[in-house]
Amino acid sequence: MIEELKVLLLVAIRNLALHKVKTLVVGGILLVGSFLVVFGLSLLGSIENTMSQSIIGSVAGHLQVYSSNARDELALFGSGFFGRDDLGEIEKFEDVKAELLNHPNVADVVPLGFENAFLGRGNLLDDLFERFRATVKAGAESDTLAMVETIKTNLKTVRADLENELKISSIPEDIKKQIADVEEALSENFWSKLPTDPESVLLFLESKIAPLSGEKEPLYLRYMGTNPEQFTQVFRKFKIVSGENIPPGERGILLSQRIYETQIKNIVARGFDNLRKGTVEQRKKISDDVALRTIASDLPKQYLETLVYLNGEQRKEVSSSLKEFLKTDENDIEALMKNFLTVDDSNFSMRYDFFYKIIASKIRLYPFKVGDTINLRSYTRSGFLKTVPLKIYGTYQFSGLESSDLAGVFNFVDMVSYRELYGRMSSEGQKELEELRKEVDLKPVEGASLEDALFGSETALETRSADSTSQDSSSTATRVLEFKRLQTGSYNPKDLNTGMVINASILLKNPRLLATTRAELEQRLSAANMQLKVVDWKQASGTLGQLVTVIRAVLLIAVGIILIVAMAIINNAIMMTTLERTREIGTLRAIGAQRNFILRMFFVETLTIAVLATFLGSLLAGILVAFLGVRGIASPSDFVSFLFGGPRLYPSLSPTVALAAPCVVALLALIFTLYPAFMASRIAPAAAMQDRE
Amino acid sequence: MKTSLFTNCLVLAAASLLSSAQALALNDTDLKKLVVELDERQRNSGDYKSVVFIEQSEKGKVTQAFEATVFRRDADDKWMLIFTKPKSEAGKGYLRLDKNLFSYEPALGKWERRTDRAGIGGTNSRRQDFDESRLSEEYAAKFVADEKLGKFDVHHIALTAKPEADVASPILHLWVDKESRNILKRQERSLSDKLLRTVYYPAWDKKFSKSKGADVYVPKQIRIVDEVEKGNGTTVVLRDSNLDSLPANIFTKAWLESQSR
Repeated sequence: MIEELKVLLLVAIRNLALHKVKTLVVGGILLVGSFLVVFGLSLLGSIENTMSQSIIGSVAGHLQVYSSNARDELALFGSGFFGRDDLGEIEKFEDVKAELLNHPNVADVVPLGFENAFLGRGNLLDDLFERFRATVKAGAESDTLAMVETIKTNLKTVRADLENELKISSIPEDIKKQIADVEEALSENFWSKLPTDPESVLLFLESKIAPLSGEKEPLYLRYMGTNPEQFTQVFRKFKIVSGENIPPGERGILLSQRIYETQIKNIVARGFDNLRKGTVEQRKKISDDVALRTIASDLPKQYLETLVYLNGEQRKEVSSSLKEFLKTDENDIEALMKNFLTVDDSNFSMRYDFFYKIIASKIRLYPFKVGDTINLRSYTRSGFLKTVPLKIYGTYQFSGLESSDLAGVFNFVDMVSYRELYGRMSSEGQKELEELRKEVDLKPVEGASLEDALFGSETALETRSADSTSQDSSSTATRVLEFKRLQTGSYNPKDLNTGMVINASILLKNPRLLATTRAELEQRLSAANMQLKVVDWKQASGTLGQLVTVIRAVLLIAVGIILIVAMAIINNAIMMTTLERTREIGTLRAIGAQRNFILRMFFVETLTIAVLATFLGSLLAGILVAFLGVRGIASPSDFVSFLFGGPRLYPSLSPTVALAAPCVVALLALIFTLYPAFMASRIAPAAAMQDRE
Repeated sequence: MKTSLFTNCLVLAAASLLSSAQALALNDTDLKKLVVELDERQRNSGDYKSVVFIEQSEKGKVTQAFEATVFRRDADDKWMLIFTKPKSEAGKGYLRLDKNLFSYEPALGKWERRTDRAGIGGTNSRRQDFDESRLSEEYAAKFVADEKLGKFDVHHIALTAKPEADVASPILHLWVDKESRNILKRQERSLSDKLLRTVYYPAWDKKFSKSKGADVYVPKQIRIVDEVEKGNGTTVVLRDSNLDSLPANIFTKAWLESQSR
């Protein structure tokens, strides 16, 4: 047997050497095929791995649990549809957590709930007048005078804009009235009232002048309620960038560093940042890239976003620096700033440095900072607008996902504030409400019978109340209204893990047992009569989670097609050589070679070349993957950086793929050798003679 | 024969009902007079202050409730509302100056300028619910029919906003008690005539105003039914109404802030 194999191997090597073209074609195809399979599957495996780490390590955990009464599917990173998802509620998180923790593979359960909120944003003049009010209140005369100058300068800009508008307006009367208001605010007479009646000056500016600067779109923020301390301990990628985590028992918000930099920062600074990213990190040219060109062309139009913050002295300083920098005789600061903000590939780098060195320190780069309190506004589940003031404790990011919009999509708030924004009343609030209703003595009336209940009896519609008691009502009005204000900020830290939540992340001790644990947990919850469902991280992440499945399917189909075509070529090549070798095979048959011997000869030939080629193909793929594993593949976009788990993907070779892929390719090659080998084995000894003729 | 007699009786009865309805119908002059009267009865021309209770319910379940004090100076078109209960909302307020509605958040000590069409305290009640009545200035009226509302005989009239008027509801329907001349029911509709809110006024308070030298009618209770989100509603109860002069400096941010300290 071994002797026969040796002979077959020697014959195969001799034949392969003899038919070089066929050997090269078949070998080349097998090499490329195995290279593609090994490289492609290793790359996909690496992406799946990094993406799962991004999703599991940011908010999803290994499994998610939520109400089985939910009308929509849980989609942490968006379902791809507009509107608000109905995910139902988990009424008593403490019971669910206890039940889940009974499973030996569950390490931790983190309460969650997410919604959209918005922050009202005043226009530039609203901001300016708000700062002016604070300055006047603080009482520092020099600061007040400096701000008056800033306001006057800005008013002149507003007047110039209105005068331009007047030339084209179809409602000139309104514009003339607005110009008159600005003239009034510029007059000495107006400002002479400031020391004696500051409130009237401020109210005039705030109600008559501020609306002239237009309205600013609110800032939309996606927020997630959780137990901040537990979240940090469980999700190791979570890192505080500035400030601190929300302390237990305190109300607050952690802003996403990504949102802070890309949506909240001063718009001119953001423009400079984006241009720098494009030109330096991505090595693009402003002149060649449409997106960069748009940012660059918008910059000069946003000049007021820098000037509005400068007082008289600062304007002089900036003006003189700009004159020197731009080497111009222009004195008008608006023209200078517009000129400075007109950037192109040749001047951008220097202007970027100048902006951050000279201008950025004088303007307000962020409208709010760590330590400030913001008014988060959100629609409750019932659809009513709810406002909750929250202290900004810090900013956060997920390690390795700093540049990903998806990873930084959430701003975290404590679960107690989340419930309030969601419209869930605390037990204390419920009690207060009952007392209030009792005080008013309001009878509940159902909607359908409302008209009958209100007008069904001949009760007097009209009553006359006693005349107010002479003139002391004015003293009633001036008296400070009596009420107690809730000192927002503190709550019992236990409240974070008790009560209503929307969903919860489940972290497993052994993630390899994910599928079985999921099934067991669902059974467990069902047995405990809890109407909840458990989904894995892929399902929980919405359309994003399905992305790898789609990429894998596309890759496998593509590889499948390539292999089928390759095998057809191999089949054809062997058929061609079989025809060429008729005399040789006939001679072998004539000197006693059995059909089986011919079959085996062909198989050994294919196997020899397949083993060599697929090994070489896999080796080359392995070398490339190892090289890229060190060097990394740069992410082409912020979205892909989430899939890559960072700005670069460092792929690794999967041993299973490296072993299985050459075997599969070789097996396919053998299958496609079957037919030509069978044809060859049927060649009769006489064929050798015929061929000679 | 019997059938014919019965039919004739029906026709006669219908004709007599129709003719009596036409006799009771308001003509244009009376209609205009009624709308002016509705404004006039509520017009104070001086100052106004009242304690307001606002309760929001969803599918019959109370979801929010507030108590606030509302101040109004009709002469200068100024308006202010300060929440006093519950504790979580106390100190928050709204101040209306010109077309701006400023909202105040005491926890931040900050003001925000908003459109004056925004809902008050996140409820379905609007600034207009507490503001001076300007129906005759802002709307054109049309008589619809004389109807029954519960046990009350009412005039049903339709009001369409004048083109230049800046109003929250372009179309209004009013049901006015014939005897007391009080509005009992109001429907607010969109431009496409879709019903948005129904507002009921089951109780009115009559007070003598020194500044006006006549009676002023103030609703004691307002029931607002959200017709878009079925089952949702708002109830407003006004107490301790006072028509005496308020201090001159009261409609300022500084004054409202001072209440929250």
